Amino acid sequence: MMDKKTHDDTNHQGKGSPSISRREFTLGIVGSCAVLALGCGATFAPRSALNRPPGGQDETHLLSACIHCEKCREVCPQNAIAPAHLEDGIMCMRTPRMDFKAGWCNFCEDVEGGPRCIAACPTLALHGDNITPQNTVIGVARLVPEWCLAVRGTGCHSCVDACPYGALSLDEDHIPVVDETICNGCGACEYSCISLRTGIITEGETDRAITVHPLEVR
Amino acid sequence: MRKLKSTRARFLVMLAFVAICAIGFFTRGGIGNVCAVGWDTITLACPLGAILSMIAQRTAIPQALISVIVVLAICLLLGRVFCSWLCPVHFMTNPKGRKQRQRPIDRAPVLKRARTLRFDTRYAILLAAIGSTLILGFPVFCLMCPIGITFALVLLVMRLFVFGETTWTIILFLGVLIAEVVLLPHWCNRLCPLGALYSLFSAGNKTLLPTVDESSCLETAKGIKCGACQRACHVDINLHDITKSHATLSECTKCRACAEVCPASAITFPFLPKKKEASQGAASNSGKPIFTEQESSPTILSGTKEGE
Repeated sequence: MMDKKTHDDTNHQGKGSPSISRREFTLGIVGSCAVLALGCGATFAPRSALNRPPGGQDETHLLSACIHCEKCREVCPQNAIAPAHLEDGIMCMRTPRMDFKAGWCNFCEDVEGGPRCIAACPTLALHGDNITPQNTVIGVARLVPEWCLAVRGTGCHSCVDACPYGALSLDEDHIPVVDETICNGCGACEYSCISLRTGIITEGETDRAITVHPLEVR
Repeated sequence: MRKLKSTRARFLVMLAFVAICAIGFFTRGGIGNVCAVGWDTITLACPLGAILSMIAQRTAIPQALISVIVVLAICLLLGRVFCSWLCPVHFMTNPKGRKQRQRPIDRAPVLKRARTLRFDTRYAILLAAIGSTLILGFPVFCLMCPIGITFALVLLVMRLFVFGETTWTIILFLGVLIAEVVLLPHWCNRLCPLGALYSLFSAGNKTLLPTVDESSCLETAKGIKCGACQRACHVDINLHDITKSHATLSECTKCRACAEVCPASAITFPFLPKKKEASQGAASNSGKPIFTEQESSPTILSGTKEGE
């Protein structure tokens, strides 16, 4: 094999080979086009709205700035951030989303300097000064009556007890009601909901009875 | 064998890096991973990610800018060390320390003079990464970066076992990794835009350059056709004549493979170059045929080539 190479050695050098061969040129063009094509594909692929960590409510800004380093997920003291997946859309892969099954967002009120996720973000994908529970809305809680234990007359009111902002109350039938003007989607209710977590009590149940949904995509 | 030493050392350093990041995945310290490594709010972001993010946002971001400058400083001081000492993809493309399919030595372009930078296809991908970000407004390459995906895969597998989190992303990432690293030949040398960026940053690197001691080198001192260093080189640098090389010295990843295969132990990595010798070497070698005996040392070649 070595012999072969040395054979056309002189031949090749004699021609004075260009600094970039045709093959390399083709590879560069094809590779570049592939990057661009995949980018376009990702842009136009459908994606679902997600509950984003505080400071990431501007979806366009978040996607343009996020380098998928997952630093925010790592530093979250509440363990409330998880990476989004392919199921949420190709562009959203590895971007941060709130996982209220694992924790809820207290906007790091007990931490000096505001939310840790914003402080840790190296590219300002999560950004904003003075992020407080009052001026930030992650999403809004919604109750699924078919799955709610309170609707079944068990007298459960875990979510009402958990809500730190008084957005949940019990109506005359002792069923939780969400005040959407107060709810900021912190996820405390979803985190505390015992439905599903303690085993499927209601038939056909696939999620917790109260879950936070992202606001309508503006 | 001596060759194993550096490969094993580099492999262990890389594993330790991945392990530290894996610990970071489940601690609150904020160690981060290759995309943004650091502690707490101090972060050294991936220079390519930082640049792409700034392009997408069309603003300068302090922490991203500092990351780029720090990486530039590291590259000036140490060269492209990331590629062979920390990057897991490097080891995936070189299983068992074997190098990627080689670009034929004698197919190397002949340059009129030694340059510090040589543009190859990686720069096309780098331009495509920047261009696509400009057009589409988000860091496109981050979605398909095999280095980031490797770390993401480690995390996803851990999450799969700890939280029972199942997702198609694992399958997709595995597929992307296999496609890019196993099916595409020469990922590192021909396609990786991060490597291109590091080469660009390392253009001014003048330290730790591989230096041939010509009094002991078999080729220069005894005229034996050896070429072991060039075959061992992961980036196909021709140390004896940089004008007949696939890569310039700025591509050197300081992996020490050449130093370890050299049968005469003639190659060293001095922190500061000895100026006199370096200029002499370049002058005396350019264009002169130094191979007198065609196949005089086949045992050395086959013994050191990819030998384990």
